[in-house]
Amino acid sequence: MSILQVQNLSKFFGKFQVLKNVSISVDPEQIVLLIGPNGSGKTTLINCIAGTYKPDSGTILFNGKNVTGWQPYKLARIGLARTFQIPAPFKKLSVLENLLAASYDHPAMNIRKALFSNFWKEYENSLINRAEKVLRLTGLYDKYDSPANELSGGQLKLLELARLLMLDVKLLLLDEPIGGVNPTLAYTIFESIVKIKSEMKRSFLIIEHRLDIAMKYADYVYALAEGQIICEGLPEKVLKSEELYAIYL
Amino acid sequence: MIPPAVAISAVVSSFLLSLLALGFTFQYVTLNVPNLAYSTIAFFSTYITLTFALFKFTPYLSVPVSFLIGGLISLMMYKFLSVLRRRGLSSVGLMIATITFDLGIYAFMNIYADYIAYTLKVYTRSFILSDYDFRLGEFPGVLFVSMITAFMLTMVFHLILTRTKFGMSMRAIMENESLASTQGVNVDSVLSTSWFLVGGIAGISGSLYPMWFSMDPWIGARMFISIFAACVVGGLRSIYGSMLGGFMIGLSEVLVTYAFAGLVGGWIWWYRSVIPMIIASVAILIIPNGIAGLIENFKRR
Amino acid sequence: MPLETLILDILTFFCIYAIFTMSLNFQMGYTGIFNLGLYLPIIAGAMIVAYVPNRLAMQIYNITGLDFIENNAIVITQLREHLQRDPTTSMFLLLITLLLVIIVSAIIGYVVAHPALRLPANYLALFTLCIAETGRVISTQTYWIAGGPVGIAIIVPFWWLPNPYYGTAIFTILVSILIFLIYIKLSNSPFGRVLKAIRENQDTAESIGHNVSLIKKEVMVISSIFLGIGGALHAFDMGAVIADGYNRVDFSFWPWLMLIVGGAGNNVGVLLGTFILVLMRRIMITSKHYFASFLPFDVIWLEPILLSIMLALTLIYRSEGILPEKVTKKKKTE
Repeated sequence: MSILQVQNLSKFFGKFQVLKNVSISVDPEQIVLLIGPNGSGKTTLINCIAGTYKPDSGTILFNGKNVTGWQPYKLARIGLARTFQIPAPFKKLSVLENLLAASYDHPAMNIRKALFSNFWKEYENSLINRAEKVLRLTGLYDKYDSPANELSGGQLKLLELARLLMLDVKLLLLDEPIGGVNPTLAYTIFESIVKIKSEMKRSFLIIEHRLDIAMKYADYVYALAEGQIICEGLPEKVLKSEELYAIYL
Repeated sequence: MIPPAVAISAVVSSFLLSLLALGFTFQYVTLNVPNLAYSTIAFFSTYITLTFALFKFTPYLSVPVSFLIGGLISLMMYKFLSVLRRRGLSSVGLMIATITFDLGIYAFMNIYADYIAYTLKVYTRSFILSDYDFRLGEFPGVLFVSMITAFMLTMVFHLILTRTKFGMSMRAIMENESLASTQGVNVDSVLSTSWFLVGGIAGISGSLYPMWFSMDPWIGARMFISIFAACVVGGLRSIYGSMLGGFMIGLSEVLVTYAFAGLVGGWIWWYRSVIPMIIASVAILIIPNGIAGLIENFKRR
Repeated sequence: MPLETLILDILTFFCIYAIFTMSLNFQMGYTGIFNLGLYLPIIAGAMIVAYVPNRLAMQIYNITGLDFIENNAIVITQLREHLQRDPTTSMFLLLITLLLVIIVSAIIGYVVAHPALRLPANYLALFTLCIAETGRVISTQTYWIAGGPVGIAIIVPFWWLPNPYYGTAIFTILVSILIFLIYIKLSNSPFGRVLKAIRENQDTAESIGHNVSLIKKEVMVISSIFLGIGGALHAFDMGAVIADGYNRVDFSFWPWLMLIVGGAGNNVGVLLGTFILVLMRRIMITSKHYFASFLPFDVIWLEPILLSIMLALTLIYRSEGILPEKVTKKKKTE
């Protein structure tokens, strides 16, 4: 069974139809790439899946469950979460604290328990351990104490990814994870993504423009233009397709 | 049948409130900061009207003076806020900055009231000047003055906004300030002038209230509730929407209170600020973008 | 005024205002809820204190034929005689009142939170201010609660002590310390961390599973409860309730200045800011009579002007974005 199935999704902004009957799916432990020119509706699609927007018609199934129109926080709790195209960290918190904040089921979220550290000390310690592992995995360990607003662009992208790894996210929606990042770091990021896919058994739906790098890592590709899927398939097939060149020229 | 006094209250209230809503929304749209001192500035004029009445002049003479004073205070506020803006103060900070003026004017209003009470030996903590009004037939002058003033000021504002180069600059700034300045608009000069004008309009509106309604130093804070409700109902960033909202709130404040007074008694008049608050709360829940927002959505379909 | 009394006076005033500013800090400094209508739960607390224990006491001691408001002095004298010899009833009345204050303040916080949290920050501030002012209109006009413009004396639950003034002061200080501890514990816990995250970027916090809307409501309810208690303590401390005195200047704008001067998001800073300004205001009040003689107006109007100037100066000279705060760091426990 697919981990994500989007069926005939449509979204209007006023009279303008941004998404026209879009259907895509992601299988478990797959890296699916979503490509297309600017304004084709990629981010809107992610926003609809991630709950930021409510689609006007169509269904979104996550592990068979109908999650159309669910709010972002509910989706995150069942394992569907996203990063933002323009990184959105908690600026005044340190990198470590940015990760520790990703703990919606922390006992301390209950006010009564928050008052007495006995209730949450243990959870907090294991959370810190987990954060340490994620920091090392994403190469941000040295910066754990820096305020998030002191990170470079590339580091912020890593932080976006790291935050998701703190949660038990089964399907990660990444919006341009290597946008504006230098090639070495970009490859590192994708290598990490592959590692996460196989070691942690996660699935990915990724928007990217950097086809030169991203295509190498994709298991399946969807090309979106003017709100419609114009081409889909294995990377080699999509790369050679005529429709693809049409929309990019 | 509604008794004439109530009908007059409803009319005066709605026309004047719509003027107030116009000014408030304009200031909000141009600097992106709700001006917390706006209502206090407007109702500071009530004491100017009182002064004229106490010195045995017709209170309507206060209109031009209130215009000037309201305009000047507004201009000072604009200068202060734009300096802070340029220094990069957050919008929270800018709102707190408007509070500084609110406090200052409120204090000055009370000091003035005390001073007059002390020197002229009159009670200034609460007053109403309807006795000083002229009458046209059975009706008090303020009924006509408020309607005509509101109508004329709105017309003037609209004409300036749509028919003059200055108005074009104003609209450009309201749409996109940085773009407007790159197009050669002298943003500072246009905004200074328009804040002066709008402050003047607020001053005029405020100065007419005592001709019918009872005034006191806290009236600014209470009327702010109505102005806020007007903007919420009309549409937070829409000037004409707020005016419509002002009209509706001004009417409901009087008429709904009157309806309740029939059931429970006249004392309910002192609670009339509750009505706009309830309307505003409901509006926020049901029509968050106000009437203007509804019209926008309708146009889009 | 003897030194002891003066110090105790400043201390209680500080404690009560610190409750207000810490509540404001919890809402604004930590969670980013721009609340200008702080005085709404405070008014509720004060009004409940004005009404409930007094009427209850009249019932208990069977004082009939007299109106608490109209015959305030007589009733209070009678109640004082009874309560001086009756510590149990006094404490019972205190407890019931505080319980009611907590419940009503919580409800107010909850109800206000609903429309309020749907609004963008600017209009949230306006909404809270307006609804608080509406509360003030209601409380100042409803004469049978707190006597309207004149004000009424109320019962003091510590009349049974040899020195009731000390008793009330110490009670106030103890309750305040408890409240400070609660706020500090919450702020320094992982819950506080999430609040800051919400303040920094609400959408991101949502995207990682936090029910932001619920959390904000919790914050507002808790703050309202403590604000209400603060209002109640204030009333008990004064031994009287003047409904007109609970206005935006004294119970919202002054706490805001204390917050800004102290530095929000930072509990110690807030307490410091509160203390400095409380001290300053106390000095002003005591030195008022020096000016009173040659000014043709009530010296009390100089306070808002001073507040205005101080706010303006703080905004101009502390302009590293309003409310600066050190970055939260976590000490790594290896």
